[in-house]
Amino acid sequence: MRISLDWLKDYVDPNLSIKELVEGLTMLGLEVEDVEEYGQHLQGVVVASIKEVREHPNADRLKVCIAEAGGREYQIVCGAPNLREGMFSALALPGARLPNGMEIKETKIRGVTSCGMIAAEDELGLTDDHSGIIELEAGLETGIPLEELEGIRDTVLEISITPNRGDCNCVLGIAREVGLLCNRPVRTPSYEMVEEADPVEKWARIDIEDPEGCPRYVAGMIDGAEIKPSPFWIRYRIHKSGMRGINNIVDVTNYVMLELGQPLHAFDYHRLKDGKIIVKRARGGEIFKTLDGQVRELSEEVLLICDGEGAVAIAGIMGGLNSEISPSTKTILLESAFFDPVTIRRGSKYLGLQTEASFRFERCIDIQNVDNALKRALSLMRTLSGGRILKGILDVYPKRYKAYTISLSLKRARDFIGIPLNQEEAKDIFQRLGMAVEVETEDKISVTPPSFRPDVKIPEDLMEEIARVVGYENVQVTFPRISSQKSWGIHKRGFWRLVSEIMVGLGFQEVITYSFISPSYLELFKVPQEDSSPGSELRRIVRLKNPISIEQSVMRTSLLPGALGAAKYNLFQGLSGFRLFELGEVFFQKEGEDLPEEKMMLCALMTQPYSRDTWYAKGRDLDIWDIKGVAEALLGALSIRPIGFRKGSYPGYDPSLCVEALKDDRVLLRFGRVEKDILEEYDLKERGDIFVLEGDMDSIREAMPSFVKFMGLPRYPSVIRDISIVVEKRKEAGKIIDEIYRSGKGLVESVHIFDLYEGEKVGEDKKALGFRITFRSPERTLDGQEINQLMGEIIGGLEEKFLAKLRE
Amino acid sequence: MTRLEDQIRSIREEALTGISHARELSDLEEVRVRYLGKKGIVTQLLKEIGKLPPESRPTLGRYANELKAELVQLIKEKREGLLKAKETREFLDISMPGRVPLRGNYHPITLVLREICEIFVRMGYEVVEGPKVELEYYNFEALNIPKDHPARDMQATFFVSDRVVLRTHTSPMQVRTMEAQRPPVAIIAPGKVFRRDSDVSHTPMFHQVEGLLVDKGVSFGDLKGTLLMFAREMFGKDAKLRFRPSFFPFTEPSAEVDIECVLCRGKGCRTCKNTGWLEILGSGMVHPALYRFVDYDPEEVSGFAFGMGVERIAMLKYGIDDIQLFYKNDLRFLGQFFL
Repeated sequence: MRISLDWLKDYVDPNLSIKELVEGLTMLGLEVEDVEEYGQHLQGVVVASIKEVREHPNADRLKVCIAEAGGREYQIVCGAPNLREGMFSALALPGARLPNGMEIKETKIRGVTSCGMIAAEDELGLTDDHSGIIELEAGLETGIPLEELEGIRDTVLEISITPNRGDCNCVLGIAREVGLLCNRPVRTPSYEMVEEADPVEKWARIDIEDPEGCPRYVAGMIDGAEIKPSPFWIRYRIHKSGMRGINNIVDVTNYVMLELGQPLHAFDYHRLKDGKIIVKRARGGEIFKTLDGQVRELSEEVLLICDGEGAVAIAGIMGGLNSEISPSTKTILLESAFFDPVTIRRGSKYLGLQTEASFRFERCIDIQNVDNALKRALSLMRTLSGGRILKGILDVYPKRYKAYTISLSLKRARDFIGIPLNQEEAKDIFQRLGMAVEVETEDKISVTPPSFRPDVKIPEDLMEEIARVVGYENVQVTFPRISSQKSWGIHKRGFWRLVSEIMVGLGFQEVITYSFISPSYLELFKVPQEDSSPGSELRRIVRLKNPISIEQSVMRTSLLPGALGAAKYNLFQGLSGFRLFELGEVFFQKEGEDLPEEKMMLCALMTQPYSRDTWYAKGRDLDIWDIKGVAEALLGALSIRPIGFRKGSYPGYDPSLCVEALKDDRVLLRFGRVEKDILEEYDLKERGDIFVLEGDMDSIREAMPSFVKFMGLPRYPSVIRDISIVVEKRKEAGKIIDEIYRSGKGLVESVHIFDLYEGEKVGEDKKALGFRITFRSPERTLDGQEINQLMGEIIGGLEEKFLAKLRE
Repeated sequence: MTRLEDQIRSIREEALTGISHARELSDLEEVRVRYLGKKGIVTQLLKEIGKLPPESRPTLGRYANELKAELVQLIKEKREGLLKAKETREFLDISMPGRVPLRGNYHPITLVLREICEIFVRMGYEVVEGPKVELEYYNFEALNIPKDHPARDMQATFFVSDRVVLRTHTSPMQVRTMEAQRPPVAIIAPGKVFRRDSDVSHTPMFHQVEGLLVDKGVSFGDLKGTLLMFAREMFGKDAKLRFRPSFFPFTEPSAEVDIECVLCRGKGCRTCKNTGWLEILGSGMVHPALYRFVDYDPEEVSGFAFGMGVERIAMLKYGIDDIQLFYKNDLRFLGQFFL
């Protein structure tokens, strides 16, 4: 809400500086977001009267006039259509510099000297009007600087009004708060209802068919009006409030709405069939053309104003083209009504149309002030249009406002807020808020809010009013004693943190990517349609009904697209050889349920190369063993063992390099190389392989041992033996190690692969493996003979089961 | 006579060879001991000369003494040479880069979120998690924001269906928590939230931390104290807060909380739009309407709730001026935060 201080002063005299006012309103809950100055930088612009207007000798469109200011006469060349003898306007004298940057000099225009310029409102930075020169009130003292004219210099406060304070969407509402702030009385505007014509009942009738939607409808009429632009001071105030001048009648409706918060609508009476106003619901599918020229399809949600024939306005939202005020309008029916906030909001949402009027109705206006606003508007219209007000008003009020009282315990208020407060002080606060107070007991008072504060309903609302008026800054600071019982132990968030710590320790940078992504990854990753195929669950996506763009239109079922996006961004920045990870939710639609399943996932990603050349080592490329090492390190750090690995396949992964890490047949991690086609689609083909790892955090957590058991330190020495064997390439080292443990009869402490050789020396389909075996007994020192025997058995086992040959 | 002279000459030659062949200081020391030590050859020689008849002493004595002096000098020079060579050999250019293990880093939002949570956990709050895709009921209805209330305009909402939304705030956790447990309740609920705003100063996804305390006799003053304590932990002992009236349908009274601008210390600057204050969170006393939804007795208990934007706090803490940076995931940005 934009509030002109000049306008505000019609109602209250704030004895505060602008800074104090801004701060005070903000601390009352009316946050002042901006302060704008108007009518500044007008040095050298003075009030002048036009004494004489002549034709320009050399130009048809220009006139030459004599302007008088402070006793001096100036010859001015001017082309404004509204220039006429006897009018008062603003003269910019040579040397003046207008707010739009224009510098005024004495010049010759088509051979005639012009000693300055008579300015238009927009040139003076006052409104956006450029239809002619500014017209000031006749009879002003000429020669005085325009800036010194009352109402020209002004300050406008941009105030953010919370949705509960519908009463503050107008000058009067803000004036009440300012009055509260500086403890000053608020004046109500005085206006004269000069009724000169027929009783209004003879001309018009109101019929409310939907009293829920329209609890009150008031109308009055003006006859013999002349439609023309409104005077400057009206348009200036409307402009400063952020609206535009249209004509004198429409401007008054807007002016009074801005002033009193009551939206008004003016109909051309002669375009209303039978002089009838009927308030009723629209029929579904009904078509109506609003005054912005849009043809709109209506529904039963929409409340209409109809005449004897059909719709003439959408109640509380926008008038119709068929009944709007036109230059030829003579007779006006002016509507001032109270429409139900919910009805207006639904209609406005349905139509996708929010207006200054609907905004105010939605936030609730003052039902008891509907008639006063009408009278205020009628009297202004009479003044501005020269029309006559018909006698009386029509006031149909089927659902009368009932005042209600709220009982408040002062002790409870004191305890709840933390402000010491006695009954007198409480009474004073509520009275200053326009609320009636009655004392029930020493502790209890009953408070009756005024009709303009429908937001005050329960004792807590009253407590807020107390706190607001006393000032939140005066609430005593105290500290609560927290007696809640909470559960300890390693809960989810602690586990997530543990995993993050490990990943960071392994050199991975955490990223956070958007939870909504483009659905294109489903095709790009070739996610299978069949339900049983691995990865088909990725298709169970949750779609947004109103995404910002297709790029952010589905809730992700995989972290991989986001991680690849982050990798791409950084690769394109010229970075390489980095490692990323994200811990984030993925979302799976669940059959027959409203809410999807949310799963916390880990996704890690590595880009080429593994390392660069350094002074101590050659750089090298990444390969599958690096990402497998990450998987082993992560699970190892979480004490999850033993881990099995097997080949897998999953959307997004290169089928030849996709591996699953399992514990007890449950997949904990998947890792591998990103499929080449995907890298191509991401424009990353040239940047080398990308390796990724993914895992479901709940599965990993459940695989963790619930406790760790201490094992005694070894008491007897170990014996180490190395063997080298040659086996077929397809024999798995993991199984060979298992066999070594098995034939070691519990005396093998560890098996370490220290060598792998593939090449000519062993033959193309073979490989040589070197194992370092550590033997140890928990009970005794092993002797050489025993070890030799064990080694014999191990070798025998390997020869038998793997067709292994000892290598020289 | 000549026998001793010859002996001196050959000792000299041997010693010179020994010195010149010494590669290490230890070799040289060996040579020194061998010739000049207590029982060294030259030392012995001098002793023997002392025993000679007086007439032959001067000449031989001179020879032997000259030899001793020469050897002392040569050993000294050689020692210096060897020392220098050793220094050069052992020179360590410590300016060469070390073998640095790779190190990752946390996203600044994670760090700030963690810090906020830790502060409240120290005060006795429990951390709870809730769904991001949320029922409209929890996101609005049960928070006293009925369907046709203008307060819904305060938060641009992503819809999944008529009944399901992406949560626009962490406040649904107030209701979910009170539904699940009886008072006293002291929780904080961190996490992602979503609003359909995307411009220079908004990202459609961001993070909030919700707090809720419901117990017997909790007051608005307690809310002030709690948040003040939080601000001091988060922003330092001098942090100042300003509470001003505002409106949230699920709190009454409601308060917007500003912190004194961390950049200008309240003097007024561009960041705080010359007000000296920066908005950091919304808060208030739990609205009694919420208690009805969860079957708490508003006559028995009272409580406060607050919600803060994590990005906002991170921006203040680190002086970040562009919210978009959080979701670009530029490693040169992310690598800067460690605490």
